[in-house]
Amino acid sequence: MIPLLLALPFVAAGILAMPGFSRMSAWVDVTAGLFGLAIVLSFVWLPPAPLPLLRLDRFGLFAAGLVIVATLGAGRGDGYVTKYLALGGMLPAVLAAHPLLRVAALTLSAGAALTPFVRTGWYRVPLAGAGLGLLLFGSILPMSPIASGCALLGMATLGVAAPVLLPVLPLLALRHAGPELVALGLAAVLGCGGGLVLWPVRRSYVPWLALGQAGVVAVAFGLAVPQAIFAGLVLLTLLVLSQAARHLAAGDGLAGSIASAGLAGLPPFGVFPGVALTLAAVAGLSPWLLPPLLAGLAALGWASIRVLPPPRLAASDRWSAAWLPLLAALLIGWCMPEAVAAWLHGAAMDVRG
Amino acid sequence: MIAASGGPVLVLSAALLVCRRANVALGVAVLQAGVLAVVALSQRQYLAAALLTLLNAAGAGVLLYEATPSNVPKPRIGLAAMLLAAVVLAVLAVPVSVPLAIVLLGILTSAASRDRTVQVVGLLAMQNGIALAGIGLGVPEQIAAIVPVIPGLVLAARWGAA
Repeated sequence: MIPLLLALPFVAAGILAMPGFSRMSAWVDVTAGLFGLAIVLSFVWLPPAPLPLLRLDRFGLFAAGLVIVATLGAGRGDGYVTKYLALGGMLPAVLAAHPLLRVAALTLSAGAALTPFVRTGWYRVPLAGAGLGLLLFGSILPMSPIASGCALLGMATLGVAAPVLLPVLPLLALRHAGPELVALGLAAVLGCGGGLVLWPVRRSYVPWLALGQAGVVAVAFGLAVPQAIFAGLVLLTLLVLSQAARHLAAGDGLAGSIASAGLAGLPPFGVFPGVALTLAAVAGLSPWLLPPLLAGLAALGWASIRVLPPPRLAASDRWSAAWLPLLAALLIGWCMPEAVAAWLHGAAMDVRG
Repeated sequence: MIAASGGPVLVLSAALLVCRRANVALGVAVLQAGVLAVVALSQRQYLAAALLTLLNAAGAGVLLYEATPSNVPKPRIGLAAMLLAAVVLAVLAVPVSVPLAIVLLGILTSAASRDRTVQVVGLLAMQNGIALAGIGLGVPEQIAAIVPVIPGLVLAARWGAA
């Protein structure tokens, strides 16, 4: 079953690479994703025997499920096969128990993500190379602030070079939880918020919104307390669901507008409940972090209102697959079942392995 | 020990910054990988020495030499500004760790050039710094994991230049 889980995104990429499959309905992506999630859920109920080099505890399974949800949205648009391969490579990366196996999987993943940019957008290739190098350097050194700083800076650089990996990189950053991660997260929120206010570019605002929200997740993870990590995991889940909805929504219909508003943190959609939970956790643990976080989030929201297209119902909205992750985000954000919350708390406790 | 033997590798990283021609920069990076292989041999890390010679020195050198352009592209920043940045980086990083200084100088080399070959050569120099850190820690599997990262980028540079 575990090889099946690890192979699933690659098999999906192979099938989707066949002629004619690129025009198939987004519901095909959703069905493949639900199949992958069913495998992960079977591991939750029937925990597998321990395997060398892989961690299959609650946190590992949560991370695997999140990567599969992130893969849902990747099947649309240009370069969808490489996006599948890139996110598929993230599965062994998040499940790896050894740092070097993690970096090797991440290297393959980044290589797939960057393939479309070799001829157009070359600047991303050396940028990703520098990011991978810093991450590798930080991973081989014994734990220290320098090692964590290099690894986190490398992940951030990699996220900017290959935005498709952005939603799942915070899961890897969790292993370096500490003040460095809090500082990096704050810099991301303030930088993206300020940047979007000063240079509102409608064409590329979604990756910057995602980077800003990933910064809020990083702040929560950096506090390294189960309560804050739980809030960060909820926010990350909502972020991945919103981004999947954004990718699955065809054109600028109502579903796409709601998904974008959700990514920006505008209430009551998308990441908003997760942001509120994170702010509550931050207020209880480090109140001095609240003003800069709120300033960055307000900037992200303000910039989004200026660039978001006005919501309007389109014909594509009627049977859009995007409604499914949007509904899931609403359910998880506002009325998470007790059993799921208890399991997520367990995953937050398992983070340190 | 590693700090002392890393000196020549660091000097070659600094020399990369003043190379204006891509083929000269490539030669310096290949020489740097060769020096690093000698350092690995002196530490009795034979696997690391073999991988560095085969992939970083010979493999990357041959592959990139064919893609090296004959013209000299204008760098992004001037020589004086680059040297100032290099001195600041080295002064800040060397007391912490020599490999860290080599990694940062490699990234600076890559960022300062417009030429694809020099950008990849900068990353090759960065990787040599990571390999030096791995040799210092003395774990052979780390070298095996470090070395294959850059040949992928070298192939990408060849592909993009084709």
